[in-house]
Amino acid sequence: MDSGQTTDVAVVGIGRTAYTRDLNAARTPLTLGAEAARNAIADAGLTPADIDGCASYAMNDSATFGQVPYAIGVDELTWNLDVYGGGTGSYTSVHSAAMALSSGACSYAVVFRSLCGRSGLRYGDAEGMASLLTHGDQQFDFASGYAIPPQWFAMWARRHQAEYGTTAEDLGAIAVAERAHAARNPHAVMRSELTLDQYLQGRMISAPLRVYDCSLEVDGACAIVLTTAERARDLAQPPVYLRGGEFTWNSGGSWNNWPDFTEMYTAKVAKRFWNRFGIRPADIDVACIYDCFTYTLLVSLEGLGFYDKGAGGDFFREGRATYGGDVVVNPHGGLLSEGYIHGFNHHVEAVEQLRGQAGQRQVPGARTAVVTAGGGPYGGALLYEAA
Amino acid sequence: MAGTDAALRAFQPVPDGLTEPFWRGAAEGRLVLSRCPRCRRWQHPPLTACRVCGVTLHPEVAPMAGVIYSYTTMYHSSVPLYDPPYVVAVVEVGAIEGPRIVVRVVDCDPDQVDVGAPVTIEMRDLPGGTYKVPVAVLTQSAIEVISP
Repeated sequence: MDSGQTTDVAVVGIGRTAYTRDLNAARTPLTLGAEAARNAIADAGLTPADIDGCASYAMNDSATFGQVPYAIGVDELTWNLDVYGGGTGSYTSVHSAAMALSSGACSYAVVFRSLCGRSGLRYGDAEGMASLLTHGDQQFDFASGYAIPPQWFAMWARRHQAEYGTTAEDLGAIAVAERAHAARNPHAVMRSELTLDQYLQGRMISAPLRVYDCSLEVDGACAIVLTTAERARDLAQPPVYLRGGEFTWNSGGSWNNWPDFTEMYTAKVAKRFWNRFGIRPADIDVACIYDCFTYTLLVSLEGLGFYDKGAGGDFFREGRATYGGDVVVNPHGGLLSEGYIHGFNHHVEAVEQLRGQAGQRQVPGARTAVVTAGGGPYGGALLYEAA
Repeated sequence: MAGTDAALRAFQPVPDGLTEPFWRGAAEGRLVLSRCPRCRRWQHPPLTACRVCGVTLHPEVAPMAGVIYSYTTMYHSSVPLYDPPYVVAVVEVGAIEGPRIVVRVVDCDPDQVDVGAPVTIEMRDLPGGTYKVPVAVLTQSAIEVISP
């Protein structure tokens, strides 16, 4: 990378719990968050006493930035942040931690996401969603039975189908590709092969989205530890540099007023993102793209410029999104097959890949990774780079 | 209907100073949306003042017709208001690029619904209470055009 853009922040530790759909194994979000944070701190060669910054994001379904550090024996934080919101929060919490470290507000920050997405409040349950959403605009949607995320993303996907001829097979190619990646990932919850036929026979949730288009709801937590590049040099793992990112927030009222359902936040940030670092899609080795639904992934990569409008199905079918192709997209299997840790597992995967520690799913020679967070009108993209 | 009254409670409107005109209009059989008296832009969901002009918005009767911008057919048993399958659409009121509302598309086979189809707006009872909610019905010409 020869641009003048530099960063002084690195990820130095990663940790996770097991991800599970086993209701008999259910633990609390606090227990899960504490385990993931402990694992990330130990991975870095640090102890909880070193941690003085903490951030997380949630939708009233998790443990807070205060509970988790307390639970693992952190004495005092000099910086914290609790973000209310969806997958976008993985950008906001990580990027804010980087700024806090750069400014000296803290020295070692742990950022985590923990949720019981299976045994607790499931996002596919409309009454549960009603309890999560806090602003009055939702009443217009809810009265028409428009209440759960699969409906929202199906609504957007249908418009893309109408304008660009996107097919069930195009969306299926993404689900199949992510599952094939998950087969190599011991942390993934769904590792058995998924064929296109099986995909097409899958239960329809909200047309055109089938069950295999949807996030895999699981219980689990993951965490990363960040510090300054200077401190990172002396720790247990090779540092992975967080070079920065670009973010967009739009459509503060209702998603329904986003003018064009055939694009999402990445269309807004793409030019800024590539220009910021002086790179282009061909320079990216690993793309951990927020994939709450297949359509989110299809249109997010499209917006970043990895392919032309409407060409996403071919991109996946022709193997350009996997090993030996243009870029390896979600080598962990993503939210569809590894599990829905609300996109935070994308950061963990990017770091593991750039350390060269991803085992059977290692992307050979991986040096650069983009991690996106968000869906619909808002979200961001971060660039990570190997040491 | 699919759900008990308790289950339906979470899906009832919560009228306040901003949203009450919409629900009162619906009860009276009219689609009432917020509109700027100066620049004439519609604003839905409603706000107190125009985002562009800053002047106070007024509730105004909108056309009871529109065009389907997009739609989805819900098969998952999750929303206790309506028995699946049911179709939800984003409709652009009046004409393409009009203000958008979310409605069910009723009285048709889901296969008859299409992006770009013209619809008329009607008010129907909202299960679980005393409110009425707008729905869309495919206009007769649209049904004829896309039926086999």
